[in-house]
Amino acid sequence: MTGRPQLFFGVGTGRCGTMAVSNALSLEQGVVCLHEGKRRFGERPGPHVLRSLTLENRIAYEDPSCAAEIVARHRGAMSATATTLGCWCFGDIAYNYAPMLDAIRARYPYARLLVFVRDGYDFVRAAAAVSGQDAAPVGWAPEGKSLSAIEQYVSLGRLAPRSSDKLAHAWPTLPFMARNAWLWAETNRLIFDAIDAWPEAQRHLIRFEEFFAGLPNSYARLRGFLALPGQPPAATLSALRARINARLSGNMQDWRHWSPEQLETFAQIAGPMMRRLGYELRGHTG
Amino acid sequence: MTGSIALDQRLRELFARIISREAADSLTVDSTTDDVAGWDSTSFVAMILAIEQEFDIEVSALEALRLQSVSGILEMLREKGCAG
Repeated sequence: MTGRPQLFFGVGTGRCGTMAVSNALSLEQGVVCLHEGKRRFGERPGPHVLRSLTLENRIAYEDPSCAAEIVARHRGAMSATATTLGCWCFGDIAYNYAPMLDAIRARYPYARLLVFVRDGYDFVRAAAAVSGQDAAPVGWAPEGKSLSAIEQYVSLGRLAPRSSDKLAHAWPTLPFMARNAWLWAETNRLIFDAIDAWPEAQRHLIRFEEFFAGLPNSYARLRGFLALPGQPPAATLSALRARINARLSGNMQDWRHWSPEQLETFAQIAGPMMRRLGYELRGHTG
Repeated sequence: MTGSIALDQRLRELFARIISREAADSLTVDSTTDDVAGWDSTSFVAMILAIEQEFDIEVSALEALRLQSVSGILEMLREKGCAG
């Protein structure tokens, strides 16, 4: 295939199926889909191809005027990288693109965007390991938990309310489930405020629950969006069904086990975004 | 580096202790986490903690975001009155 490589970016809150989709896409002929800048080969992580933007996530959130420079500096040579990799379709999926979507759109107006969403209750449940080291420290950890060097590093770049936010003052005393409810709502706010600037033909919504329940048709629609030719390799479905990174223990309990106060806190913080994304508030009487 | 000689030396010693002597010897004012071997996500937080201890300062999470380059560290130390 000749001409400019097809570029795409993916964004979501984390813990919303990004790694499975990234793995499946990378099995496609001529496609390389990174995950947070890194190549992966199924369960096996590969090398960084693009720099991780863990800290830049927070920098761009605190000062949106930095986003264009961050994208130019660290994502400014996507086409050249695709050529080096020998692929015609090249993308990267990362939660930390949320504060940079306007800058990405300005730099790559022809790029396509995958938007991942997942029910906020499930995100909060799965966002942080309650005990033990967290291999995928997406969310804020429980108060007082001892963190590894990597967990501390990732937490530096994790979004927290700006000083002007009404929650900023209370933030240090908020329980971790409330912090993760805010993280889910604010990350989605950034994404959904930004995606109107992307033409509908260039963006594709992947709703976690429907996507994985609707396989293989949902994956076929994704392939159509990216204009991938032919049939998917046989291994893609098993890649999508492999629950890579899924923690089977150590999570916070399911919302059905939350206290009325926790349900109320979630509804107050994340309720408006739950409604905006079409998710139902549960166990909430107010 | 372009801090004072004493500041440069203290910073180099921190890099030698936390990362490696090779990393410390290779430092210039333009060095960043992208080009200093071993200055990665694992050593990053240890460097911040060492800087806090060495210069008796507190580094906030937002300030820490700037410490991905030697120039960023020197700038912060100057702002906190540690440049002497």
